[in-house]
Amino acid sequence: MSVLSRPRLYFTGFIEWDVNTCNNNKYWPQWIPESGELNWDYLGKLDPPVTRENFREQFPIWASKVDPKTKGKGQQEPAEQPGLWNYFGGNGCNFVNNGKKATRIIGGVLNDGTPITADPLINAPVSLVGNPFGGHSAASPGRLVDLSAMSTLTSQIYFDELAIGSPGVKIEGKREYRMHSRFINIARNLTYGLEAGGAAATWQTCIPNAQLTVSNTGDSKLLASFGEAMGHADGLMIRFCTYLTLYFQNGIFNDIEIRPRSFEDLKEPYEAAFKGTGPYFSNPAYSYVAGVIGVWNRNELATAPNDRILFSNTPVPPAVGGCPTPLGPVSARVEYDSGSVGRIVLDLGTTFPESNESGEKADLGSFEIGVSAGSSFTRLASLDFSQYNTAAYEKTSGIVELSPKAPVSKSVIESGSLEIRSGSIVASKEWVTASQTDQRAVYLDEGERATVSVGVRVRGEPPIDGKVLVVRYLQTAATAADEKKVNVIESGAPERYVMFPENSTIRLPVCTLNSQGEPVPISPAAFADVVAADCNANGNCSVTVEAANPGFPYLVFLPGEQLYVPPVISCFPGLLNGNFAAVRVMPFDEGIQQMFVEEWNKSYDPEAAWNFVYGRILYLYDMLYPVMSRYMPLGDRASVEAAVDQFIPLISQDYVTTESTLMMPITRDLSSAKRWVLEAWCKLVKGNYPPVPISGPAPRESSIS
Amino acid sequence: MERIFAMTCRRTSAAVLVLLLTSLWLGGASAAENRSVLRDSTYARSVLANNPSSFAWFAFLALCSPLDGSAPKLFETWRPSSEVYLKNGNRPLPWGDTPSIPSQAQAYAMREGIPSSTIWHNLDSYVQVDGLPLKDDFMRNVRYELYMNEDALSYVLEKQVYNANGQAALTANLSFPETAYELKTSWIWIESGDEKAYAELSPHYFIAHAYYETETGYNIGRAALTGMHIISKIQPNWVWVTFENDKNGDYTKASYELPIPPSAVQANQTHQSALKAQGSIFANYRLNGVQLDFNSPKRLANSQIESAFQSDSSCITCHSVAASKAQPSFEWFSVVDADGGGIQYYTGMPPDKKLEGWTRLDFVWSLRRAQWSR
Repeated sequence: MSVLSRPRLYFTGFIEWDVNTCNNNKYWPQWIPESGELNWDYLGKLDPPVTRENFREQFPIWASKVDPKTKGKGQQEPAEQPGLWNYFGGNGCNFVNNGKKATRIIGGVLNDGTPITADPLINAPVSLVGNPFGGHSAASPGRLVDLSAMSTLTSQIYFDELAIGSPGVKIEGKREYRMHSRFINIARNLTYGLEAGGAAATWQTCIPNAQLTVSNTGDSKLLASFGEAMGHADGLMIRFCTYLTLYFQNGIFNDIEIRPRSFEDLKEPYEAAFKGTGPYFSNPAYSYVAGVIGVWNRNELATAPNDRILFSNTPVPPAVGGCPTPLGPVSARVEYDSGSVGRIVLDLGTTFPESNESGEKADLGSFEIGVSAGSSFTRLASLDFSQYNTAAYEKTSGIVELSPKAPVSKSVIESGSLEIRSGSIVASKEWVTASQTDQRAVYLDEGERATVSVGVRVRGEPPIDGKVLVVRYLQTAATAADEKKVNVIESGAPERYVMFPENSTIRLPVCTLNSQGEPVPISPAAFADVVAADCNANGNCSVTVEAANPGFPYLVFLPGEQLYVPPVISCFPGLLNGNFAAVRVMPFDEGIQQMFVEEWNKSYDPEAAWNFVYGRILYLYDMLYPVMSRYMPLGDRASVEAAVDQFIPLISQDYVTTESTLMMPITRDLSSAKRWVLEAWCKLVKGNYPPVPISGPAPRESSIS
Repeated sequence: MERIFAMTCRRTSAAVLVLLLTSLWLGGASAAENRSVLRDSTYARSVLANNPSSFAWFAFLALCSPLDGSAPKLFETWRPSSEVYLKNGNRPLPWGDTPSIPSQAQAYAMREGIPSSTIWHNLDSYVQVDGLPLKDDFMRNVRYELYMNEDALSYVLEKQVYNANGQAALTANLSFPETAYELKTSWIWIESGDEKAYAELSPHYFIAHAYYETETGYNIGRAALTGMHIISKIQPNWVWVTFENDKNGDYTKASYELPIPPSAVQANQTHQSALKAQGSIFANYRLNGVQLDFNSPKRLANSQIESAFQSDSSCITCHSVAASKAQPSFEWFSVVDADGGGIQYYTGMPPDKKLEGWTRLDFVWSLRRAQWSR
């Protein structure tokens, strides 16, 4: 099934990213995510220095000021400040429906392939809804959260509900899976590239039938078609592409009154907010959205396209000349009719580039879609610009159904690999074996374990006797500008970051490839301990990981038959194909609980308790995420104490586990040890600091039997 | 027919009563005569039964008397909670003993020639129950002060619940006397010397002298009254009334979002017209509504006091969860309903199941300000 089958709904519009940007460490390593602390060594060397004594005044000043050293060569590489373009962002993320812009259903296709452009569901809004907050009339938004703020690869969308339609003609569903950025296309736009403006990503989630509510008193044929299809499926799938991201759009996409148009314009309103003479304001970015809604079967991965998948092989020059450009990923499905190809369905949502900031598709000419086996190439269908130009793209969100040119047997198609060719150029090749996981972002506290389920598909189907290698790699970038590669974690390394407590491992050599593509061991020789996991009949296998050291390891999925591991995998393009899970092992913060207990028990002093909590925990969020000053200034003891009833659920493990969009911190930087301290402090506040001793935490049960 | 006649008589009597009492107040009749709604529970209940909006207005007018420019207003003579729940849990002064103002405020008063009889307001908080502040148009936080009347204070003293030690020792639920009243007021702060803000606000708002504690001492200035919650124990679940200034949407970042019921609209027209005719500043205040029970109505709010969660605000239900328990460690019940991964507030019927094992504080949340004897 998936969005490549029928029925389908198409929607287009915009998505708002109100993400906080001060934690990006884009050029400056202002904080250390592995420990969850400001980088005092680095900050202390600034001029003037930012120290533990003056940071409350100096850090915001430093973070607001543009650093001319960051100016790049191009016009789209202006100088920036450490707080970057949205220092006061709250990580809100939602489809825009605000009277200025809309994200709406634009069309669809019924089970039988009939395209629909007139229906009660057309023009109805599509919304991502967050958890309720105080009965506000406007729903709270979803949240965009990076597992690693310095990585381009680990963005997630948290939300509580998906709502499609209007009263009487509506599908609503409670979240089962949060979304992850997939198939990131860094340079999708040929000329526009301010910040991440030229990049694109694909997002997907599915909602099981049991969590869906459908209302069709408006007699929508599209909804009726979906109702029927969902009766034979397990739920709903939504997949959308976000691209062409625009910045400095206040007043254009929204009604926010502070309207900077450059990084320089931000300096004064940032400083005014900190001085209390101006508001803390959002400066969100906005991406175009093209999406499709279909049905889902449970054996399909919920959050990753797992149809047949093609990736760029050789860049293609535009029809009017210019630099060759790689195509983005393509999901493909071939449907058969009496043993021969009946229809080829392509998801070109993130495939073809735009030429400019206006979003016009680039004309890369015509293409042939076919199947390659050895040296032979059998054409299946052709694709020309009229089928992927702007109008076509926006009409069906990049979903294209192609009729075959001639009969080709199923056996040929299912034994070869799909290709997209432009003349003699093999623009895209099928990645025949693809390994993806729904547990794309895993958070582990000290002593915690998690299971990562990997779905292996060969030509979009579960393989017979499938196998995958799971290898640990590590990203060591201190700033986002350094993010280029991940390095293998070798056997015997003092820090393993995660262990494999329940899977046996094999030792494979670390090798590079020579010019013939043959593996050559590196020198000195090195090895990696690797899980070689066998898949079940559904093509799925699982790996259990346990926290070993704080950091950001990657679990990279390599072909099961491979007998070596590369020493380095570049993020671009290596990991853009998506064959990995990213893990964040939270800081361990050992001993902090007992330190707090001792601090309180020695004097029952509320001021000392507050100083401990602020000085060791809240200060980081106060500096990096000043959005809180709009609501609960984290440096103001009276404010935080007065909001303790709200604070307690917001920082609770329960809100983390249930993925509430209100969890604090939304960036998930809080270790379990620090959470314990905050909760102990809240308990004191709830009783107005009863002058009695408190106890430390219960000893943690060992997870290793 | 007789019933209709009786009802008509009652309504006519009530209307006459409204006009009579309003004219008495505005005519400057004595405070003792005009405060019978605040003192005579039987009379108050009869007014309430006849027309809750009338009761609300009678109470408000009594609290703001004298309604001309003379001072102090009755509500200003009630005991602020900052002088009930003292630091270190000390026993507050009994009714009749006036707590002194900070020396910094005294010095300011002497410098500025402010009479020593002036009542100063200690606007000691700026965070609403949802944990959020409300900004005014001068980029400052709207501030709050709570008060209780003599009978409420006497009960607090009698039960020794003015400190957390006393509350932790409770063995039974509290039950305030039927003559108990509490108020919560909201204020726009006017910085000392800010004559521009004063000039803008004084034509519309009641202005009083005020101060609040800072990290280094006290900030002394004035404040404009933007709203007033009034709660009365004339019935077991109290009566919940709230007034606010018509101009709040112009001078603060919040305006009222809920509909005002027709009976309150009518009462507002009657009383505000009369007050305007007499040139009283209180003509600018209106009644938002009266809550008599958990679904009567289900929601009531004040844009200045429940700014960000008006559609999720029920005064009576939120106060119904005023409770504490001493074991395993002393704490007060949470006002937040966190079921479902969100942050919401209790409306409708109280969550009685969740309150099992808790000692009820008879709807009085100001008790949460009690400090420990150290």
